[in-house]
Amino acid sequence: MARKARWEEHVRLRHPEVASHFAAVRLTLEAPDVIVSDFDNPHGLNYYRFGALSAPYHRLFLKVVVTFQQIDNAIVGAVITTSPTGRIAHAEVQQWP
Amino acid sequence: MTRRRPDIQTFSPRWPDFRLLPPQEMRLTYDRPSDTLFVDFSGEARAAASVPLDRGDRDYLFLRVDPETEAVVGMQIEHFLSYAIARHPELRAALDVAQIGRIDRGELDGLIPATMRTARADTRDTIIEDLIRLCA
Repeated sequence: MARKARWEEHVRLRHPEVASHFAAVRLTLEAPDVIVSDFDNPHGLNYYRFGALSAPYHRLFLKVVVTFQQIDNAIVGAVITTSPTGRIAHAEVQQWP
Repeated sequence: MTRRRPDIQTFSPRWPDFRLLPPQEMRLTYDRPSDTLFVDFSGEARAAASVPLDRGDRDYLFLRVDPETEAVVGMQIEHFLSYAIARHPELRAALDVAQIGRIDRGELDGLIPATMRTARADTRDTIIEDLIRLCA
């Protein structure tokens, strides 16, 4: 889930390169190349997909940082931030595949 | 079948001439949910890639680089409270001049290690110089 408020207040303002590419973020979450754990957040996962964005970011990974919490009887993930980057971050432990 | 490695773009970041950048236009912003300090050289975030710097076994220092010109347009320091300020105590002062998002200053002070709560009286220019020196 990418809460609209978070998208508007953070992604659109801090990462304008992704702001118009919600579909790329969704694709990264639905069909990642790699999922890794965040070395800080035990309740988070980071999703990476190469080439999710169009040029000039097409030769980079799109990283999507998600944190999970339990709401009622469901585990719900929320997008915290996202940006294009050139590698899987060091010290992030691969969880999938 | 061999899985091809992706053709990942690499960068040769070009730093700006800071003598030509008005220091009052540089903007520092701290985002609590992502625990990230952002430095924008030209007053607002510009579209860019986040390029990690090799500084030990963790990636926490990133340059914001325009993928077409390779110009460095800003910096991004992740894991700021959880990791970066323990390694670089001089960065603590950045929180005193940064715009703070999603947390009030009282709560933020509670997250700072007790030994760092009283910041040095650094000028904004000194803080920015420290940040640039760290990432250059």
